[in-house]
Amino acid sequence: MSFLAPLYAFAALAIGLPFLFHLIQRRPKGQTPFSSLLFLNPSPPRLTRRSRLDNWLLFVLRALAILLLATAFSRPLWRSLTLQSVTTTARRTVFLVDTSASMQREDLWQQATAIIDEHLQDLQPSDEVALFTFNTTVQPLFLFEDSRRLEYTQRAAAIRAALAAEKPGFATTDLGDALMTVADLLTAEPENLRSQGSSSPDIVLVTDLQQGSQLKQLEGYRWPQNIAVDIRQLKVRQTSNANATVVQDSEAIQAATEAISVRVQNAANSEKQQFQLTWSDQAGELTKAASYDVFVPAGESRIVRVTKPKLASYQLQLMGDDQPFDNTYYIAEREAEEKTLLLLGDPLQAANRESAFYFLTQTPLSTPFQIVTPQVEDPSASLSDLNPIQTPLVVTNVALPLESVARLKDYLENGGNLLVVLDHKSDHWQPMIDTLQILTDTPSLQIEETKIIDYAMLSKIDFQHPVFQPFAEPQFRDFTKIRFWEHRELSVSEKSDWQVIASFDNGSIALVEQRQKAGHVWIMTSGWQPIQSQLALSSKFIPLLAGMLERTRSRSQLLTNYEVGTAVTMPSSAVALQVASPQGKPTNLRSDEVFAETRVPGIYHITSPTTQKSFAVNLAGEESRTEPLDVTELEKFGVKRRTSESLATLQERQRKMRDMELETRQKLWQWLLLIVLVILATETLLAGRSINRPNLTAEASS
Amino acid sequence: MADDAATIDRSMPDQFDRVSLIDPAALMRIKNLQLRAKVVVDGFYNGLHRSPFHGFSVEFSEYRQYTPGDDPRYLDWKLFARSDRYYIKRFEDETNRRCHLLLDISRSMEFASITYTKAEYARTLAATLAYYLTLQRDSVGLLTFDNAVAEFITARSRPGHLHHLLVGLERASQGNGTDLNAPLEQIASFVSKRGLIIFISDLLAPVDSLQTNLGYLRSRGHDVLLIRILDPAEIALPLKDASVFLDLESKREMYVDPETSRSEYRSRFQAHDEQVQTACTTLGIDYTTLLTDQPLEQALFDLLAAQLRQGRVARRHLPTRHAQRGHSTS
Repeated sequence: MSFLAPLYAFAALAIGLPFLFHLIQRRPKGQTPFSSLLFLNPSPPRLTRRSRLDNWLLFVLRALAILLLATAFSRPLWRSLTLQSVTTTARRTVFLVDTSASMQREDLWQQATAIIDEHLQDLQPSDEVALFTFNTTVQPLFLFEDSRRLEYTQRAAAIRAALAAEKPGFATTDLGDALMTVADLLTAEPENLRSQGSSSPDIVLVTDLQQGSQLKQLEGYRWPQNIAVDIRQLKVRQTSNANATVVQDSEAIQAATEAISVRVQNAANSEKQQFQLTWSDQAGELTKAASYDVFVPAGESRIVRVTKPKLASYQLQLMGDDQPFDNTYYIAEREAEEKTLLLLGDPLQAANRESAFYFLTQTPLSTPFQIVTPQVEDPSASLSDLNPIQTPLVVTNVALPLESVARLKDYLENGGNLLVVLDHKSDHWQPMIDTLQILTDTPSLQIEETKIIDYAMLSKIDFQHPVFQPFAEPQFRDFTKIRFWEHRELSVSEKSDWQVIASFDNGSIALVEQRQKAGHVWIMTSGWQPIQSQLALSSKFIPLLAGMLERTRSRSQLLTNYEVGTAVTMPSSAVALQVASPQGKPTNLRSDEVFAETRVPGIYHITSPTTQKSFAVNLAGEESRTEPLDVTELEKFGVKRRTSESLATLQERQRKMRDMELETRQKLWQWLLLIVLVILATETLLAGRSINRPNLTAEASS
Repeated sequence: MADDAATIDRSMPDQFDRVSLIDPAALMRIKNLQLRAKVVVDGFYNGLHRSPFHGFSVEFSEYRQYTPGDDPRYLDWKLFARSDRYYIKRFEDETNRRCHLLLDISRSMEFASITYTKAEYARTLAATLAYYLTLQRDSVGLLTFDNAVAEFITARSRPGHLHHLLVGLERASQGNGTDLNAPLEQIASFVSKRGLIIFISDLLAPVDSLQTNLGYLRSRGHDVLLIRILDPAEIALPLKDASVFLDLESKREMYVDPETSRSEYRSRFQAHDEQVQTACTTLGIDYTTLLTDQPLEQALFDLLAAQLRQGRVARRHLPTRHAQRGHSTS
């Protein structure tokens, strides 16, 4: 016989209590104060009947009741011989190892491999193991299938080999995503694939669990109850870590002539507070630019203005902290591209304040990356060298000769954009109708003059359209202040390739778009100059034109600064491109293709036979938040924690569970309680009789 | 022991019976210590009015022939006129008496089986004696003690000294023992001029060296009056139920069944009392026991007796109460 709760057996000691009560001398209650005990001697206690045991049978019964009660509470069970031996259960373990940039610190990676090694040494033939690494994404290196496929002796070696090929990169830690992915994989695993008698899986998470680990995703996730996570948090000895990032975006850096704003952030557990900022060129050589001393208390950040060196691409170096992995910030600048805004019409118009072209020539459309120069050409001029990359937008307000139309059609097909503005009152619209019919392949297109009583306003604007998208926010949607004094009536048949972007409140078309392969044609039925409307004087005019200018390029605008792991879309180019990583590894790509190999921070160069561009890839700021997170943070998101068990403790736990099951089946305690009740009933009877007896004898004697 | 108490009552001289005595329980209800003393002493004077001991004042003593060197101021010129001889006139020493009250304020004095404690009774007694002696223009001093000397006020007779003494008497009982030797040694060393020492205590302490110390005082010429204050219950041990007895001084606890230990207690108490009495008899010291339910005037009678004894006739004609008690019990 064995016991489930043997500690309760100590309660059997309570049978000594009746003895004890008899042995304890009863002290008289209270004290009598007396002047002096000089003449007194202590009296010996009186011997009463209380000191003797009167009824041995009652005493034995009571003791027996206590003994049986204690035994019942100890939950006795008969353990049959067949169940004595413990069959071992297969453990299923997933190793999830962090390979984010912060794991580059000190010997964290060695610690991680040592932990895996330690687990592998305890590996049993029935155990199943899997290995995943994670940073921004989860990489399966060794799966349960591999574990089942391989011999027991080969598994550990295979995992070690897989792990040896890995090392921490520069990506950020997305721990929430990694845990969810692995948990989903484990729950989705079909039952029949699992080994017989295998236990619920454990995830051994090996990570530095930094503040920058993104756990938010776990918020809405229901963690599977049968999966437990053993968190093995790795620690560094030198905790000081700071990083420097340029606060401004690429355009602002490009636009800045001298000083740029740099944020220096110091981790909360840093011991150092004094840092230096220096500049170095692309090769890592320190430049002659001045260095800056920055004092940042732990857990805080400071923004400093530093004068940038006059180089195309350079690095901002932070010095003075313990962890170098995030101390370099790469900045790439590039020459602004020259673009032309071609205006086809009477060249004299550019000087005429009443004309639409005058406002186009005065509009600042240049950005730090491109300089847009308006150029007025006569409609009859040769448009042979018109190309969409050099000239992203052509604006015209006159009927064009046939050669020009043919040339423009080519231009549009290659990705050019044409804005036809009907900006003047005319009785004779036929030449324009002819031009447009040919250009847009729309024979039904008609233009008429309309009579407006006072003014027209824009209504029914398609804010989903890229041209109007900058105004999509509610605070920018108000177009009611722009009044149109005149406009033309444009009619096209219900052909589907015309999209009305904006209409007037009288139902007439205001702006319409036709897609022509890669390019677009817009027809605007009113001008923006003050005699036609108030559009040119409103704040909406420049964004509207800029939207048209960027219409084809918006998908593939190359920035100068990306985070590690971001997919970069290559700029539009007529020829093949080659991207060179900071280490010089070349990748050949075509125009508008996506480059996803931004794995290392540094300056990447895109070269084509005609141009050379560069962009910088930097470590994400989140990764620099290296303060260790408390392991209980994960539990807040419902992640079930458990320390992985060694084989012995696992067997012990299983034996206990089986004992509990046996005990529940046998229920010996119920029988014991029944016996106790019988004994107590007997005891009550006997005690009642022994109390009545003296009375009876007394009565008899009287 | 109850018999002993009765013996003490009966042993009072006949002349005391005529004095109307004040019930001490009634007296103790008076809050003011001075008023209590005044009530007792006034009553005592009233009772004493017809006393045969009236007028024992100090008188002319003798003539002595003048010898060169004597102070010529004391020459009796009238006698010189009559007899043509130089005589020096000598008187009894009429200087005021110095009296010291030694009061036990140990915690054992806090015991009470009646409405007031022994300490309260002893304090009233000391105040009464002090008041009485002050009225006679005697100098009165006070020494209170427990296991050490607590307070010592030297004997004076200036106005206001009585109040000073009464304040000294109001101090609460303290200490965790009784040392009977310390006050006696102290008073022997401080008071060189002979006088009267009134020792008020319950004497509930070992008395082995009491005789030696009292002997010192006697040898210095002091008259000593030993007044023992006892609660009636301390003599009789009338308690019935067995219980834990708590020593008021040492806080020692002892389980005692009075029924079984009463006879032994009484015999040991008696032996202790006899030991004190023997010491006093040997040294010629007046020893009296006052139970707290007895009138306070008795103490004054004892004092008076002691004073008389100090006079010329006292020892021959006025037997002490102990001597009387000895007669009556024998």
